[in-house]
Amino acid sequence: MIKAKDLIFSYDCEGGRHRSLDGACITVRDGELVAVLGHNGCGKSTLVKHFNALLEVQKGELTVAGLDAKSEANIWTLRRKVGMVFQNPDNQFVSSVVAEDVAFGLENYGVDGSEIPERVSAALALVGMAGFERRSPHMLSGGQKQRVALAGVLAMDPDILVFDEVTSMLDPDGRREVLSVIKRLHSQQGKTIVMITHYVEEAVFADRVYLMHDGRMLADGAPREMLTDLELLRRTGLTPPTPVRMYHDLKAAGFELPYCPLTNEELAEELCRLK
Amino acid sequence: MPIEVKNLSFTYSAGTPFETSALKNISLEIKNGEFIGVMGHTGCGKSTLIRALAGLLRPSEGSIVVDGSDINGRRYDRSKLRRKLGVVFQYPECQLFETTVEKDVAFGLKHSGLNKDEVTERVRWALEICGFDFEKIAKASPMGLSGGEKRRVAIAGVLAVKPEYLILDEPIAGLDPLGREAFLELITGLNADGMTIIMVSHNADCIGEYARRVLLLNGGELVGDGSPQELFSDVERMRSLHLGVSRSREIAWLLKKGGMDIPQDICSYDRLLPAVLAHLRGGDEHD
Repeated sequence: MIKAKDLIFSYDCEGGRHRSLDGACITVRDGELVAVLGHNGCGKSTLVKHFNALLEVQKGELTVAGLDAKSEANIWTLRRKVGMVFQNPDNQFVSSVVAEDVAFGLENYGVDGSEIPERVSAALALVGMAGFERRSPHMLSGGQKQRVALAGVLAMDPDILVFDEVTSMLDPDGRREVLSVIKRLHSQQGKTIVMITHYVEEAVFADRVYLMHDGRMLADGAPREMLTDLELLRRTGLTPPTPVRMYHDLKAAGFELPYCPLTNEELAEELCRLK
Repeated sequence: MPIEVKNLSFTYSAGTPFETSALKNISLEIKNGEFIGVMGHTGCGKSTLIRALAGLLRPSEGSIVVDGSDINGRRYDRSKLRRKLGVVFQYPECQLFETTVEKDVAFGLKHSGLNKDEVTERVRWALEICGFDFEKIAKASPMGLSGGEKRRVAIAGVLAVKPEYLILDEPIAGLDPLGREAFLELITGLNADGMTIIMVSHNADCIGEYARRVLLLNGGELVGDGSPQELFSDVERMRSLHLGVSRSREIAWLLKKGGMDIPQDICSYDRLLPAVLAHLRGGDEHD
């Protein structure tokens, strides 16, 4: 469980201080998959970097997995409990061999050497990369690289996973691969997941969506509620998914579908039924 | 004058066990003022093609002729190509290095023969076209800007040289939806003013909505060359090439599969909506 209340974070920049978080509040329950949506610079990355104490809480309250993130004594425990994967897979590799890269965290935490190969293999299997142990990360596709980076985090068996725009550099295949691993970790492994994205389509399968703007939350709710609200999306600085846009355009032209579809498939089904 | 690519092949590490053929016998012509999208699965040779066009890689075989001269010819003056052809690489924000935005954008003009005032004017033009207020941004440090701003500054640096051809490698990856839209509008504007655009992107939506011609690469070969309408019409083939089609195209395809008679050359939303409406209205009349 993550509970943040009124987080404020500012840093020095050109022409004074910039307030990147301005009273951000978020609650993520155990086992929940939460998507945080917002435009570039809205503070979403700053927010999640607080979850494993990469950034120190300046003002406000933050409890993660029952630990007070403000207490310095908790930093190392937090880093173990919360695993984080970033946008660019190339920036995350420390070794030229996949298995060694995945083992890096384990070795640093002094996990017994005899245990490591097994945990590495298990983590790679979880992301569908079993058999790639001896390969070089640099020879893999973007989606594969990102899954190896994810395995490195999973090897530590964190309770909470944070994904910061992990698909934004990937091609359509890579994006599909990574998203399906995320879904599986949520549904089968019961991991608590916070996923940052600005692809509205990726938020469709979340349990809950937060819309973030200028350092604070504008709204939160079920994807169907959040992603079909044109006014809310506009205020967040996001564009609606194509089916939502079409639903509203058709409505304006006098054709109302029974509900607002979120996916292309739902839209096609409803339109074909209308005919 | 156009760019003519004739029987272009490129092999990395030729003669070693790591020999990889990245481009295989590619021939194509790019006319002035075109807006071309380049699509292909990771490792298809897109980046190699771009580097070859920019004169950064010497082809193993074949030739690239820009405005009548072979850019790999012995007598060819490469600096001429550098002024004609601008390249915005992936993550251009990583190319910023100067202490102020103004200096960074002006860097490419160092040996251009322009005097100081002309350089300032050019930098102002490039920054303004990229959506900045020159007075406000000129003295700022490029490192303190947001990701989207950095990218626009980097692009301003390329535009300052006023290239005739602009090559962009995944320019919108990592930008948010409004950032993407604003950026594509900027490129479309430059194209309308006569600049030839060659844009590599995984994003089928941006290609479907903006490009007028698409090149498809697969395993180093050119496997498609036509309008987005033509190439996206075969959804199954695009998928077999590990590529997506634009969302509007996918919706049109799903509608057809669901039994709705919708033209299958629709790639963009501004054609999809009227087609669906026409169909719905037409259906009413029959009732």
